[in-house]
Amino acid sequence: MIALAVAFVETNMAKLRLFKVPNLLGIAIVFAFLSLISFYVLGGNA
Amino acid sequence: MSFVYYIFSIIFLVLLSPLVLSFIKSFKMRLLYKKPASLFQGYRNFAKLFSKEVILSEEASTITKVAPFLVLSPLILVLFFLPPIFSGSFYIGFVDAFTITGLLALSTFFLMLLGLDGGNSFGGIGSSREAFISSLSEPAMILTVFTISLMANNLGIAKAAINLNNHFPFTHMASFTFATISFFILLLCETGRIPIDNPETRWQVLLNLSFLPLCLHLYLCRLDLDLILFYLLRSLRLRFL
Repeated sequence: MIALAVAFVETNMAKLRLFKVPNLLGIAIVFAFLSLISFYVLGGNA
Repeated sequence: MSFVYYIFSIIFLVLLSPLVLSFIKSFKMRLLYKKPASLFQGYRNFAKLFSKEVILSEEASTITKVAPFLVLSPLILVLFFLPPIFSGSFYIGFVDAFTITGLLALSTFFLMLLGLDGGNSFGGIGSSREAFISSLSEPAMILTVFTISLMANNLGIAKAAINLNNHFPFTHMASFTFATISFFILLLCETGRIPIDNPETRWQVLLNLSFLPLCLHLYLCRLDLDLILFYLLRSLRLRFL
């Protein structure tokens, strides 16, 4: 399923310029932070 | 018996890697209304590359000779620390996400050394590109894997995956969704796929190499993708997709 998603993204997106790559990776970092924050907001492991 | 499953799962993952890549390529061709390549094309390419002669540049130092193996060995090591595929299989539970990410970074480091060692301009371009992308992706990967480990109540990757498999915390579905999106972007990044990098032209860093090391590099690229795919599947379980 992930392999299909990778293929779908590759056919629908063009290669980014090198200086646009940090924007995309910034989104990844933001989502990682959101994940951590929402984990604690929802009560952690308590 | 559990140890036999463990060894078998590692061999299975290594052998599966070219098939996953061939499958992606085949599906891409279908989406573009082209005649898809065979699913075994990846294996045929490997057979072709392995039969070629090794030629090393006169300017290249010992690093060029040993680096392909140094790039490959941390990835092979990571295979041993992954969560078990088969139930009842042996696993190494104490290795955490930081170790795994560190090993992947170590592999990238040797790849950069390899690119720089030849002294040509393409190697420098490829190495600096790898360093640039890696420095941005590793913190995000550590954070994502750390959050998933927190949710699983265990920092050890294999144990965390087993905990998630047994007791999936449905209250943290939002966190899992965010982590999956982050992981998917990192997957594209770590494996050098479009839109981050083009897998067909990624080998500019390796233009100073002969065919056997190139073959090893192609193989580790596949292995890398396979590792991340497998880890993503095992840790997130894809219950919400």
